[in-house]
Amino acid sequence: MTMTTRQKLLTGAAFATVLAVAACGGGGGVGAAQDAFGAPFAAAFNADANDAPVDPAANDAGGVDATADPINPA
Amino acid sequence: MKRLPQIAMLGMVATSVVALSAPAFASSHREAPGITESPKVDATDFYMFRSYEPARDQFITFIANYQPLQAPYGGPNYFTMDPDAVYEIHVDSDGDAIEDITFQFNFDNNLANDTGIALDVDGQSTPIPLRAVGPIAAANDPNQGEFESYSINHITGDRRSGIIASVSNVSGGGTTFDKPIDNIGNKTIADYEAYANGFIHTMGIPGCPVDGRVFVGQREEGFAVNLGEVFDLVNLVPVEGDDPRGAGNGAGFPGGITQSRDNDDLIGEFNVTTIAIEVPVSCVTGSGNGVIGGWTSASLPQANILDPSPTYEDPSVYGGAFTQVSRLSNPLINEVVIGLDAKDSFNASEPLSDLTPLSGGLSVADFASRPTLPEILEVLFGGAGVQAPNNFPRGDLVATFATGFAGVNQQDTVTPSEMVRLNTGIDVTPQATQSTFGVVGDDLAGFPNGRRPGDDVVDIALRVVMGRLCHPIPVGGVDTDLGLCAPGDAPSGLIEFTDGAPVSDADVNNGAVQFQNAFPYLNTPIPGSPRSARP
Repeated sequence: MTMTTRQKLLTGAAFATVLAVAACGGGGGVGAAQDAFGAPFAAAFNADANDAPVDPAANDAGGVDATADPINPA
Repeated sequence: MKRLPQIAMLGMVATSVVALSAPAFASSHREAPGITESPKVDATDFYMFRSYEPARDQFITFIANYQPLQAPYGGPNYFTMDPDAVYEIHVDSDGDAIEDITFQFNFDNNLANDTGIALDVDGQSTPIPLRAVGPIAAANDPNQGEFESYSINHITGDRRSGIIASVSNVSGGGTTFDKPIDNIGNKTIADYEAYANGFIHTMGIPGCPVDGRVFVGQREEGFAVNLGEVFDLVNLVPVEGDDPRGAGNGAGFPGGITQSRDNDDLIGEFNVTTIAIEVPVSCVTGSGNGVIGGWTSASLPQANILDPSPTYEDPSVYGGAFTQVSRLSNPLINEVVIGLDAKDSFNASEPLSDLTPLSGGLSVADFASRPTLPEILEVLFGGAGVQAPNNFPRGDLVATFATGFAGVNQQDTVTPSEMVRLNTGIDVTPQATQSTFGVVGDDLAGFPNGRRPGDDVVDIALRVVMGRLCHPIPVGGVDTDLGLCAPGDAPSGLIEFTDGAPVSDADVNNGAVQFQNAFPYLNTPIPGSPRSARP
């Protein structure tokens, strides 16, 4: 990936996406968290450490109910 | 007076001065809204200089400080580094504004026996709440309950796709290095200086025939700045009140501030975490002309899931690509040059993109070529005759901080980008004879030709941003026109702006004497106890 492309993505993803919200319902594990937060989040979470960061603009995790119980990612 | 000629790279007689469009404020401490949420990855200062420790001038010392404003008494956890982050020092050896070499630090924190120190309390093995249960004198002391270590990757080429090789621990074997515990206090660590010196490691650098050195640990803050007053709409008279500086005679500007440690809010008050490496010159200059650019960055995994049942090892679950959240090279850029709306964007950016707009629409070059700080000073002190330079765009600032100065610290390939640049061919200035004003003080081995701990970058930057480079500067003792702008462009360019906080109060004209004359140069950290030992 070119530096220009990476720079663009870096600009679009300035910080780690912190999602301190929970999906409704129970269940645990990283898989459950990813199911709750959506495919874009899952893609970001599962990317290789040396990949270019993804653009979080497409992330739909903001639709998760902030008042629900947190998912245990362990 | 002469006009500055093009000069040979080595054995030169002319000088150059950096132009930073940044004034005197904390170098890069909590400088962007986003980074205040992540202090462990907040870079505060970056130094790069030929080692002036006796007999070490064939080495370059790189120092990257992190975690600002550490109160010495900040227990019980003190200031470990983030094991989920990568901390990096980058070197551009050919002038294309892309890293050619990266030293990448990865940290690991572990509890002794997985629980820390535990005591038998009525038959129950109960972990204690503290990091130590008795005096600590050396690495792996049984009285210590939490241990910090790190590994170093040497990456050639792109930091994420380049060739990765492990730096070896020549002293201790393997590829892991121990980090000392912070200076809890004199009862826990009776002789912290001796204790910490045991963590200066010899490192084997891949592809480099000569070993280097590394130290990572807490140090006393080395950046001097009148922080509170400056940010309070420059609540001081920012012009030297003595004549000459340090004379104590009040014969300078009427009512002007004079040099005193009492004007400084950091040295002697706070600690910082230092990543220091010393690398042979020949192992970082590559195929370039001997001028290198350097900067530090920190990155976190992009995705984080907070764990509602956190453990010591995993308070959160991280995943995804490393995303840069901190960037620092020249002091004060993000602090007082980049607009508030673009500071986080700057922290995520890389030097190659400095001509590309940040969030908000202006690029680093835009901010530097039309800086706001001189205008602010004119607003605040225009009644006293202070005038901002009017040579727009500020070629004196952009040309020097973004490209280096031709014949002094400019690389063969010139790619405008914000970066400290060091001419490794310029001889070192011994500690005893350094000028705190660096190149402006006719000391070619100092800022902006690299940056040393003793360089008063605050006062240098204040004067440069107000147009000092538009007037002749001493080069080898001869006033020399740099040819960047004209004196008429900067009516206030000769004013001795200062924040009154010298790097050294023992010698206000030589900041180097504040520090050690050996790697890692920065001083033993202030202890958390006893109370009499700290501010």
